[in-house]
Amino acid sequence: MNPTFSNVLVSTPRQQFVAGMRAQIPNTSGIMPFGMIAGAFTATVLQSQLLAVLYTSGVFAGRAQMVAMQLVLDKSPIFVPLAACVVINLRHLMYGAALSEYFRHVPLRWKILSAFLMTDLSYIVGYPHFRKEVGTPNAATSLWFFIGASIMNWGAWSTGGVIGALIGAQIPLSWSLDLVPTFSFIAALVNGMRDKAGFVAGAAAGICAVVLAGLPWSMGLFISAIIGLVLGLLIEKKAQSARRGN
Amino acid sequence: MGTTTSEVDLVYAWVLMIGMGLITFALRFGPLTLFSKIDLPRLAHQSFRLVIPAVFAALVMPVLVLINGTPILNPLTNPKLIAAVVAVIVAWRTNHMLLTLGAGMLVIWGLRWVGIG
Repeated sequence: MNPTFSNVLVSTPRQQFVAGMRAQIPNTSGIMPFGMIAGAFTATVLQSQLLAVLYTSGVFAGRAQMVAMQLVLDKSPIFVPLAACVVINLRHLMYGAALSEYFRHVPLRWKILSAFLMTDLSYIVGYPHFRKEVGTPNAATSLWFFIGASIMNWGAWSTGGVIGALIGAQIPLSWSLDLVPTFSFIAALVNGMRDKAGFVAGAAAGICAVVLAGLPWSMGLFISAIIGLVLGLLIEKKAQSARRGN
Repeated sequence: MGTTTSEVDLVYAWVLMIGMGLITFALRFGPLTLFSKIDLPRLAHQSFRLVIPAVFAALVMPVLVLINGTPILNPLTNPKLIAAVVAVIVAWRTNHMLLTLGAGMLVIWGLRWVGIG
């Protein structure tokens, strides 16, 4: 190994961090307005701007927050929004499990930070990056790409939350910025569906999610994802045994 | 919101916030730390690659297809479908997040500009 040569090739944590932040920038155009809406709605429901700001930045789970606030408005007993929060955020179990193999040698403090910052958007930006760099010299610093991307996401969301809590949601709904995350999700989804198992997983989960959309607390989301995952795995197993058979 | 909300109990609000924060953190942190310490079966590792297609299809499809809870498959009354098709094509060809979301949003705005949606 030539040390000067590898110094040029290997990304420093700082470079990874900046690259991760940069990769997340496009998504801030969707996440900041969403933060504004969540902050404004929460301030109205809880009648406290301070609580709305703490809530938005400190819980960092937009869907769960919107559902919970609606349940508070409906005067539900406290276990109802708490239970809804569990159900809506169950998908994070899958993100945590899938990311765990890249966290084997990560100190506890960075695991805590990464877990706090973990969201849909940090996952679709961070996970493919981990996979791309695993086995390369850059794998040692991939974590910082994930943290950079996640902090950018958190910063945009929290900024939106503060603005929303203090002066209300300032961006017209007619701009449709709520669709920005959807298109980012499509980019990740299409890439994940390029092979047969991924395609079956996505198609099955998508159909189930539409059928089950009426279930309370977005329960259909997790159920559909599990159905997609299991069917995709079955396809993969079948393809493997066919390869072994031939 | 414009509605007159009655007083929300401050204790309720704080317990709810802290409770939701702890629940959310536990769901994110639990498997991340637990599974980084033990060796998982091969099947588990194979399933991780499928998390993105399975979860994100389930996140995306209801947003695209449903309007106020009803499936609308007519692109003239649900222009999100047209934008989604364009986004899928761009994603397929480029595998680029910014280009995909840019294309999708431009189609949404363009269709609104010509009076659809």
